[in-house]
Amino acid sequence: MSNNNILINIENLKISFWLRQGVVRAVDGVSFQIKQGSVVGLVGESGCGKSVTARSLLRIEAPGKIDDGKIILNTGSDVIIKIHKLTEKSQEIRAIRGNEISMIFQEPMTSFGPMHTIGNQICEAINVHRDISKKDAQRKAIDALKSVGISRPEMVMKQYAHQLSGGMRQRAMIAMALICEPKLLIADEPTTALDVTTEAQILELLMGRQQRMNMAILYISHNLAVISQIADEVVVMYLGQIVEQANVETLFSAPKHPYTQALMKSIPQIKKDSKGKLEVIKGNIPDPYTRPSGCYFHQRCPQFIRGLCDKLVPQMCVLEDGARVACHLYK
Amino acid sequence: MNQTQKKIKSKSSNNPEILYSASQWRLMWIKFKDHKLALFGLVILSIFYITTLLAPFIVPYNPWEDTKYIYAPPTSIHIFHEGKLTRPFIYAMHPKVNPENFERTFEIDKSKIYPIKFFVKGFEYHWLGIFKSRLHLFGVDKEVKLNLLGTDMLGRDCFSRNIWGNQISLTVGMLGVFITFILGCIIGGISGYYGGIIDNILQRIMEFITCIPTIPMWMALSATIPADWDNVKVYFTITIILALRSWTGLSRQVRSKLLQLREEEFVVAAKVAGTSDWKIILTHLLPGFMSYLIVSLTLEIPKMILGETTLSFLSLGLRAPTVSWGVLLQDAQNLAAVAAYPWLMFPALLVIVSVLAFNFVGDGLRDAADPYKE
Amino acid sequence: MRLLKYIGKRLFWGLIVLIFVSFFSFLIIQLPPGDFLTSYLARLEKAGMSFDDATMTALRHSYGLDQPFFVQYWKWVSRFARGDMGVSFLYMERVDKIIIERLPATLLLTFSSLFIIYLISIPLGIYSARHQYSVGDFATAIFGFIGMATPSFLLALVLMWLTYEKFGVSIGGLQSPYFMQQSMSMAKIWDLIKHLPVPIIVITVAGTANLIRTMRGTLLDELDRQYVTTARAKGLTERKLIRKYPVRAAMNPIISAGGWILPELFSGQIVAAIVLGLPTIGPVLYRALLGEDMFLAAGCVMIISFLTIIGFLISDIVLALADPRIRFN
Repeated sequence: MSNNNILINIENLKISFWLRQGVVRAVDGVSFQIKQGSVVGLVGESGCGKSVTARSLLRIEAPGKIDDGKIILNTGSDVIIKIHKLTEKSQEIRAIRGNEISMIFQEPMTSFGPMHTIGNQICEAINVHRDISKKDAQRKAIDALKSVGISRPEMVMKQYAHQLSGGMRQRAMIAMALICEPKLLIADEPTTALDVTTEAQILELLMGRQQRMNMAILYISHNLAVISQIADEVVVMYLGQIVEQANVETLFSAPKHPYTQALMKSIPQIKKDSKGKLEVIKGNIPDPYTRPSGCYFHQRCPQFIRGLCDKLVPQMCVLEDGARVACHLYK
Repeated sequence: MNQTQKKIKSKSSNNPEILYSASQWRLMWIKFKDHKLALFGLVILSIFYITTLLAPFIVPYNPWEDTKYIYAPPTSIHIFHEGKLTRPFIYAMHPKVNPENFERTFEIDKSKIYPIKFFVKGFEYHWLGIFKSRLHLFGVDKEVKLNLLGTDMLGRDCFSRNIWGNQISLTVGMLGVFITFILGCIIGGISGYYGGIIDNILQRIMEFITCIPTIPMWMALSATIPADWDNVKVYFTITIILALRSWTGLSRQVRSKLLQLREEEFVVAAKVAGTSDWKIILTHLLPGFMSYLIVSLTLEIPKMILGETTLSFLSLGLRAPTVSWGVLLQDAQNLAAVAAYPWLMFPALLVIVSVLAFNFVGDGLRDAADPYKE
Repeated sequence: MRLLKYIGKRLFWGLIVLIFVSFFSFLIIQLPPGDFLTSYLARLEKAGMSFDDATMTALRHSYGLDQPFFVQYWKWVSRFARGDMGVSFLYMERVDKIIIERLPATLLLTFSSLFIIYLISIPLGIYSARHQYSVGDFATAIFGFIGMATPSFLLALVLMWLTYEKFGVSIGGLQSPYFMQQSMSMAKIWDLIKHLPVPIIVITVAGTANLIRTMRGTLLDELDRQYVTTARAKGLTERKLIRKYPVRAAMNPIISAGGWILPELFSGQIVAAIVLGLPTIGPVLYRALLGEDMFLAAGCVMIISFLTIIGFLISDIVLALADPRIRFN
């Protein structure tokens, strides 16, 4: 039963970027699973590889290249698709994009093509995967816009992207992404560029649709507050590796990895006695070309054990409360 | 000035160079170095301009000296005499006319060899108008002629004429661009800084000028230069005519950058501190986009070189006896002559190479002007 | 409605520019030292016409030479607007007749060059952008650099010489002398077509080189944009999404860059026309300038400027039609 529950299985994924200056291993042995209908939050600083990981599910990780590892999609009808084996331009992966797995992006400003109407682009999303008449496609598009809370969908259909506000554009994006009722929605920081009020509305919209459609969401963010509200499971990444993974209550009540703990502490809190400095994680993210030996975090870790953390790479282990950590403090 | 501590990745070295307190110019130079074509172009241009500076010294013969060696082919330089390796030399060539078909040929006299000497005495010249000298880089004995690129229809040494032409063709562009720079900065500066009605009027004027087609404008203006003006006057007038078109482009660039920058806070701060408007423009705003200006100017020079060459070719620009590449190419109009004496086309090579070199350098500068762009 | 207002505005400015250009053209007539009418009449006399004093005074008065500068200008402009551009003594013809005779060839050459430039540049530009750093990309780049660095007269000379050497054909002009007298026939058209390649190559090289670079650069910019990734994530085929999104978006800068092409063609074909002896307006202007035939010269400058302004206008309108961001702003 539990096997049928797993929608996406990522095993030891490794993705590299071949740049003029050298090779960067952006994703360095990442493994986790996404269950059907669950919300997984993917957290980490800029450059930790969360975006690349997500993109690899749709094979749009270019210009990165998958060096190793497996990505397996279980569509539920006993069809197993080995995504990592598909070529980037193949028909198989195109059948998945926008259909089984959809993605929404951070920049609502530039997500729609500037030269075509919103209606044209949403209908295109349907027509790629469904063989229906033009009129039916239009009707579905209008319904989709309505379902994301756009009040005058017929008008928006005829408008161009630059005529809409950021919030409207993001809603239209969501409508377009969900129109084929995907099993997984990847949301790559969809609210980072929006103001707080609009962000709340979009989150509410997403959560509502998720529940109604029993859709899984992979939500990428560096905003822990948002993650704590919407996620079931949380995966914390640092420099291309997973350092901790747990369900949301466990993670926020008892963070294990020093990095996770530091992240929690650095969230500004409004307390009665608001005194003292903001907590920061000391040091900087290491140069991606020259990674530290042993544990990647050891140079900035407040619980650094000399001789161990700088020599030996910590292995992922499962703890009693179900959390998985990669740290020498835990065995 | 702009100081920074960013890491700049250089293609040609494996270690990212970390520069503390590096100036804007140093950053640009590092990025420029990566652009192999641009470096190549810079080398070529250096050769060109050094040659221009030392032209009278490098040139063996007086460019205006008529001789009887009409349409002589380029003199072959030999290094083997009677099987032995010797220093480079030439043979004497005697012009002969075939009495039957009047065909002009040159008979090579292999009896005597004339070695090529260096630092010889040749015709007198005034270097930079100040120093009198008779010293030339190379030459041969007076009885023979060393024509590296042959001679033209009056027996004049083509090599000398071509190199001599460097002086005009390569400097017209520089002077013209200088005028463009001044005009563009002033007008664009005023337009961008003050905005409003002044800006509107100036914009309209620039639009008008842009609408006049370039070549007819150049042709018409050049045609009005009186025939009796001396060469210097003509030279400067042509320069101004060429610049009349390009200053509008630069002006527009200056203006748009100023429009951006003047809203920046450091300008408001300067104003509040009581700095005069001119000082603000000159010391605070201009350095900000100097690099972009230099790119534009560098890319304008080849246009001017092409313009002067074309005008002179059409007899509308510089005229004989002034020697420029365009004037020289007039000789190439006669197709039969070119077919028989292809060395007459050599100035074309100089034009193309110099224009290419400038374009490469300009491209390299343009890529380098944004040192943080990957 | 908005579009019409936009066109109207541009037309209005075009008119203003034309007036400005007319002033400039008239200035050219006046620039050479001396009273232009005197030297003009002197030339006409040399060409065989003679005038008595009464005629000279009448002519003087009708051209307003005894009047201040602006009156003269006004007289010339008003005549010009009515179609009376004066008489050329070089051709012994009315100026407007000379120009109208050459207008068809000028327009034919210009528009076919424009067509060829776009036909070649866009596919090559797209190819270069999609296959960056490939052999094809480098070859195109080299062609572009050389094309931009070679002055057009030089290219014309070289091509003329080449066809002369290789094919024994002298390709000056647009039509062999034999066919010029003949009436329209297939052979005549074929002769015309045979003469077209060299002029078109010379005229289009610089424009093509420039446009390919622009297309490549613009497309490269657009290919990086977010909406391309979005389209890919929807499941579109690579070819379809490239054509529909970034190419379409890159077309706008191309069209506005192309806005320069048409006007530049009117100006750029002049030198090629002179060297190749084409029956267009360019060589006439050249001869007029060399021969100080001022009415003809001014007339040519005005007409070429007029065509240039129309060129700008056309490109402005096309751009407004193509870019919804301009239309709905």
